[in-house]
Amino acid sequence: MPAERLRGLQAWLQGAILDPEGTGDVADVLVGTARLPAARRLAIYQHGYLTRLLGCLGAHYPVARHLLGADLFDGFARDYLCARPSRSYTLEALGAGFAEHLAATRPDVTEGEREPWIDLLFDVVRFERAFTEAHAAAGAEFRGPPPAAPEPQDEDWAGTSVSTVECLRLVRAGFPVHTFAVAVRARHDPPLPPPGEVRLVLSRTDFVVTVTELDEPRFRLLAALRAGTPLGRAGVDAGLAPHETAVCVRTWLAERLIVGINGRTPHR
Amino acid sequence: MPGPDRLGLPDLGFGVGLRARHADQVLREPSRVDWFEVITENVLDNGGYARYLLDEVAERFPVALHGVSLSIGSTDPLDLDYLERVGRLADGVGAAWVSDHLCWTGVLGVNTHDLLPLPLTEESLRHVVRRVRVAQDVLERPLVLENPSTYLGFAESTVPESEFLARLAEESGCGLLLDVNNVYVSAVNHEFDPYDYIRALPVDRIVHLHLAGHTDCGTHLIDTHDQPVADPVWDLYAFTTDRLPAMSVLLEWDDRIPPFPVLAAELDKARERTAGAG
Repeated sequence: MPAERLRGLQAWLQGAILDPEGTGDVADVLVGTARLPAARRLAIYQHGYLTRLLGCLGAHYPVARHLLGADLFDGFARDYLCARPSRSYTLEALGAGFAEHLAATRPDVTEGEREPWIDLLFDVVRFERAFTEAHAAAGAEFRGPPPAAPEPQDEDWAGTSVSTVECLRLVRAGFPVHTFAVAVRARHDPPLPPPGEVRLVLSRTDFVVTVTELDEPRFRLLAALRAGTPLGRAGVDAGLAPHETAVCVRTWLAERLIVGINGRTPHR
Repeated sequence: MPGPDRLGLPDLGFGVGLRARHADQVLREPSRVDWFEVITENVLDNGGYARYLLDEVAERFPVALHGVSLSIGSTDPLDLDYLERVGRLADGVGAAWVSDHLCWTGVLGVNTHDLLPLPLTEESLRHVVRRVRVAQDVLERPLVLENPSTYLGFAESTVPESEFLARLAEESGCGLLLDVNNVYVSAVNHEFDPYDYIRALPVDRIVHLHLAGHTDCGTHLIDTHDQPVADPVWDLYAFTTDRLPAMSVLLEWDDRIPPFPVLAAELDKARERTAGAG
């Protein structure tokens, strides 16, 4: 059997697992026994694939699953797995495109009226993805003491750039998804939150993900600093005076949201 | 009984899979567990608690890396970036060895995150031998491959799995991780003699043993790792250890994970049932 044959068999089996409807007759390819026919053997893998990956998505998106209910969530998740099967060696990445997929297949857009609960669902999914990433990315726990904060009177303060901690995630949402998520994770059954814009900063302290709110200017400042914009420009664009920007930088250094100055990032 | 070889890899004693929920007992209390195995992909890109825990444990105990995504049997190109990352992680934590499974996890760029069976043919064997050699070059260490539990077989297969593994080890230089529970599960599912299977394996290539629980579904067994080791597996384990020199043993328990003392007690059974023990 040349490698082409092996490749063909692998493509066939994978196709049969991912899309059980199109399997066809398996008895020519697989060995069966009286106790366990070939089709039932294949079904073990088909069932295992869906069960494992739906379980993983459910674990990554517990709040979205609560919001939708298990059956509807699993339906969305099945569509997602069908449209975007995993291409990563790690299950951590499995849900990375879930929000994008939901946005691309949003049913109420094609039907005309945008339904608010779907806006909430998007925000919840984006928040939970950011939470998962903040949990797994490198944090300040492995770093040395923070560098000294630069002050506006320092030479070239305006040109100073900072490095933010890798686990920092910024989420702008149209609902207070963070308080809703806390209530759901505490196994309460909270009412759906009313609309209200929030700007959320997710990071980690002692391996526990933290979520805090910022006002609009400070959120824009932190986003700009994270993107590498120097302090002077970032502060002006955010509408903050130099002394206000300096206070933010001092605070965020203390909170370990900022971990380096001008490329110097101390490691433990 | 033949003398130890194990590719020169150490006998670490009796170990369990590392779990975050057991961290307090593992790090703060005297333990009857000699070493820990870590699922490679759970820590490979992690900069959070999983990596911290591994570093802390590796300072106190021997550790080994056990992967599920190498996909050594796939016809897709080997992921060299993944292999290099695994090699760096193994160096970083001083892993005793790097293991994965005789399987493929996907093709055409997809990862099903399942350990899928290979058609066991001469060409498959040549294909896997070639890839193991490349993987070992990148890892700069021998690769250790585990016999998978399987639920289906291909009509085109011509080589028994035990012979496939023996020849793979001989031709590629890789080590073997003998999962005794997997042998039993596959033996029931495919109706072969698990004792013959173990007799066919090359003793000097077996680096360590796995034990785990399975679920009896009536018509077949599923390798669920969610309960104690079954009695027939303990019998097969005693037979296996009677044939082998002393070597590392690892208890897998990955779902419905019990408190650490329960896990340690199950591991004690392995100590007691090792041939020649006591």
